[in-house]
Amino acid sequence: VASADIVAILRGVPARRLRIFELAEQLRAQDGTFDLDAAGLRDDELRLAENEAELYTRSTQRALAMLRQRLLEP
Amino acid sequence: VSGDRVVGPLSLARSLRSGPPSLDALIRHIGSTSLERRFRALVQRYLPDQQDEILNAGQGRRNGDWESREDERVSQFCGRFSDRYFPLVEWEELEYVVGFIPFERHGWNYDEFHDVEELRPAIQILLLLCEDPYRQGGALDGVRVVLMEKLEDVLGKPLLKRVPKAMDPETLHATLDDTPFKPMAEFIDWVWGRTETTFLDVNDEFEVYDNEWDPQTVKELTSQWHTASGILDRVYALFDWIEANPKKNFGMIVDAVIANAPPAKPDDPKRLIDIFATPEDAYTYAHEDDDGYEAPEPGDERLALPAGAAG
Repeated sequence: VASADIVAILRGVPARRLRIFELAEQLRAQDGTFDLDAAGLRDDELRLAENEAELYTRSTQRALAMLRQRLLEP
Repeated sequence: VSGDRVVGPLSLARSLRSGPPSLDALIRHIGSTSLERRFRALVQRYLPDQQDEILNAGQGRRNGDWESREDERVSQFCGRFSDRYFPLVEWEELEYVVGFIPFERHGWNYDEFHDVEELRPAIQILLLLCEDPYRQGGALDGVRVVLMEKLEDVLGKPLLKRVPKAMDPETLHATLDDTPFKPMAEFIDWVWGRTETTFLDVNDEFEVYDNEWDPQTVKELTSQWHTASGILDRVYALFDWIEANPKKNFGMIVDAVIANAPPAKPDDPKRLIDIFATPEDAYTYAHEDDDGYEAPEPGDERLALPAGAAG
């Protein structure tokens, strides 16, 4: 696979809107810290969002490792 | 300018530039609040009217570090929750409280049942009527033999000899439920782990898997605690009453059991003496006393010893 093809493939990957970013913004207190009281009320959502983000991170790392292997193959 | 270094003209701009946060860093940051979030969720759900007292507990402590504040907050939660719902073990670490419901366990375990010297006197006395839950249907009952010897001075031989054979919970309920001594049957339920309440039937040796925090489980446990605490109140009142006058009051229970017990099967030993003694012992023991009881002669078919009981 040529580098140009890989770039094209990556560009074709649809954007993934991770819930954790949205929640982090919604749970920001006025002084910029994480609002633990509000977070306590949405703990189930947060746990799901954490799991989703962790899964996404792991998948990305796997994809990255495979790409590196491909590109560095003699 | 710092020392000899000259700060580049775009350093400040670079420092202030905000980009998307690292996903890893965000997960770590939010993940590090997990225990605290779950604790606050518990407080908000179950004790919303006491949030301030619990979450601010320990704040006024001089030299109080975060750890001791956490201890105080968790301890406050456990105490206040116990007052409103059912008793929790008073842990001081968040992780032991937020993971699973740390309900108090009052079930009997093997060591408690067999370490009779450690039991309060009323329990020692009442166990004379209790079949060993670990040797159901067993013939020679080591615990009761030890108790008989220990209680001889307290209860006297005549009463001990009238003690009927030990019973299981079903038989004791059938015998005592219509009498004022029903708590005796409830006590046996507790010893056997048959109260149908988690609090009295489960001990520390049990692995419990379904005690996660959720409103349905809390509701169920609250209802069970209502039943369990009623049983404990009645049973402890019975203990006090027995200890006030062991010979007289236990004698009344023995009389009630004898009067109401279901008819014995032909091969059922009727009394404790028939169970623990050899035919020769039973004969000698009975004739030593002057209460009018006549033990069957060895070999007499009325002395129905279970197989193996005679050694």
